[in-house]
Amino acid sequence: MKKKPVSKFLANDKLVLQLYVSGMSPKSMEAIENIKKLCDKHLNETFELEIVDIYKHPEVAAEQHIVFSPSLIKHLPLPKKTLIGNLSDTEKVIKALGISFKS
Amino acid sequence: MIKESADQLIQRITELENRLAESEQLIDAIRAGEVDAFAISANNRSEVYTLQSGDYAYRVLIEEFGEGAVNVTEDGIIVYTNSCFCELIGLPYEKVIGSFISDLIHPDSKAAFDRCFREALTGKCKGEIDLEIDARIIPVYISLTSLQPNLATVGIVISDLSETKKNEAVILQYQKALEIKNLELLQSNSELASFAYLASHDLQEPLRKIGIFCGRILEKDADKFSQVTTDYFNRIMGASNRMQNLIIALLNYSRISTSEILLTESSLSRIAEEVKSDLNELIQEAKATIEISPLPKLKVIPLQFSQLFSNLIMNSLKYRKAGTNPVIKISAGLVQAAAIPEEGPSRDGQYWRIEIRDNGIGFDQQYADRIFELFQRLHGKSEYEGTGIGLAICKKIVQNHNGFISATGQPGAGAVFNIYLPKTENE
Amino acid sequence: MNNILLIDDDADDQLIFKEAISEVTDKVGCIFANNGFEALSWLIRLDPAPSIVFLDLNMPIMNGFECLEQIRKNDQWRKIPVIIFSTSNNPEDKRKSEKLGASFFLTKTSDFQLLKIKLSEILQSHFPGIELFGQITRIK
Repeated sequence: MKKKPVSKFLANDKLVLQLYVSGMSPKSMEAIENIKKLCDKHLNETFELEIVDIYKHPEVAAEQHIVFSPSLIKHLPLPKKTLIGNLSDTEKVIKALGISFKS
Repeated sequence: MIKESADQLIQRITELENRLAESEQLIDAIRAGEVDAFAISANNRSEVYTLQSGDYAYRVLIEEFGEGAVNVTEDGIIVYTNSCFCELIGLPYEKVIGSFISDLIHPDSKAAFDRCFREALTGKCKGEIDLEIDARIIPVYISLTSLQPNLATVGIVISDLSETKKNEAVILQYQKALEIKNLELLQSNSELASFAYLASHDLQEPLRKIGIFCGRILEKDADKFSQVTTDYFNRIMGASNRMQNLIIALLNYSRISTSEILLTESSLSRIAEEVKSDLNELIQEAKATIEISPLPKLKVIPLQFSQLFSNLIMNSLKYRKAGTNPVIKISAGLVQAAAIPEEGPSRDGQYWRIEIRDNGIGFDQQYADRIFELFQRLHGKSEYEGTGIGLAICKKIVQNHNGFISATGQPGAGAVFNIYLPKTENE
Repeated sequence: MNNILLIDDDADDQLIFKEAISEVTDKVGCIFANNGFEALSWLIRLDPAPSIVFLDLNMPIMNGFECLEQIRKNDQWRKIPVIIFSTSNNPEDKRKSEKLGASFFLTKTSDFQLLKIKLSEILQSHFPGIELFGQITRIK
């Protein structure tokens, strides 16, 4: 993924997520694992997840002034939400993202 | 107007409350140690800051993985080494750190390393060199990368090739042994060939004498002998003649096995036509017709293939049907290995099938394999002359070409000889 | 009396040769040497020297080629025609004998009649006008 990441804002209720990581840092690796597991298990809706490495793209901070790693940003549906940390607390993540459990 | 301001103010306060909540959450997160790094932009520049925990995994990886890793300055001073490298060369950390990497390199590899190092200063370089530590030589594979502009060093990953080299040495030994065995085989073959030639030559000497002296007896004293005695002498000469033919045929057979396999691209059509013209007398005498369809150009041993065609044509002429003019048809085509009806070892790919079909007396299919064996004959010596070696020679020749031969026939309905040769790429 | 010398270590071949010559003519005498050394001693002793030398190749101690070389080295014998009389049908041997100065290569066969015909031809060409027994026609 060499080009600058572009956040897509779509009209419908699709879940659009971005996960910021920093290379091989332990929490980055945990966050990636956790979000993947969560998406597989609990998301029955379509979603978009983009993983961005701030070492490779420090310029993402320009838009948001400060970007933490690891952190998960829910761009859509509004309101925008930011979750810091390795996302190990699944319930907390799901609640924050306002998504329904897979039935 | 005051009402609007109040609304605006309330909106602003809510906004600020939200933002404050987020900021507090962020600070809590940092305090709680939930982030490893962050990026901040200021004055159009973005910078990434790594907290202490963020580097941990990189360190563990480099320290724990099974390859040597060092950082070397432009002047060749080792300013970082992992423990694996120290283990690889068998020196303690203190002796390695701060030393010159060139001190560890075998004199014969120094030039190659210098070249690689210079190349790596502007990019990357990889190669095989030998290290020398305390008279121990360690073959290694090195991968160099310049870490500029971030660091003023060249990073080198070093892999120990000792095991690989040991395996290479073993393989080389086997190769050498194979070469020696090959030479021995060539030697043995050539000795066998000379032996066969000498033996056949010396074996024929007494036969020549028998022939001459029997002939002299009959010439000088034929009138003094009874019918029976004359008959006996004729039988002696006949037997001695047959033995001579046998010796010559055996010599031929042994020559086929011991001669060098020199394959040259040859036109099989041309070889067949040449054999046809060589056997012209026999063909005329038998009132036979030889029809040669277009045959491919293949890599064969021309002399042996000539003999192959010759033996098969002579065979068909010999076993012709009385009262019928022999017709021998030679043709060729490509077949898939799977489509070959004859049994045999597993084959794949394509084969050339060269077919020699005659209208002679044929044979019983149950003997189809036997006829190619040495000295095997399906008819008595008195019915058909022959040494019983001709078809065995054909089989040997086809084997020399990595192919196989088979025959199908029916008594009274002629025979078909099929020569199968594997098709190679360029044909 | 013209003399011809046969150098051959095989007693049977000597007998065959003697019989063949005797059935072709009685105007030629045969002398036999069993090996190269005997041959050279005959050549020294015989006066006049033999008119033709027949030489086998496959002999022990001194083989035919070595013997031929010795004959050719000697001034007195250099002019004597030497005919190789051998079982070999190797073209290499034929070439080598030509090179060493042999005038003909006669292959030993099991055909007695053929031997007589060949010897007649040789005798006729070396002793023009020599009296031969009967007419021996070549059978094609």
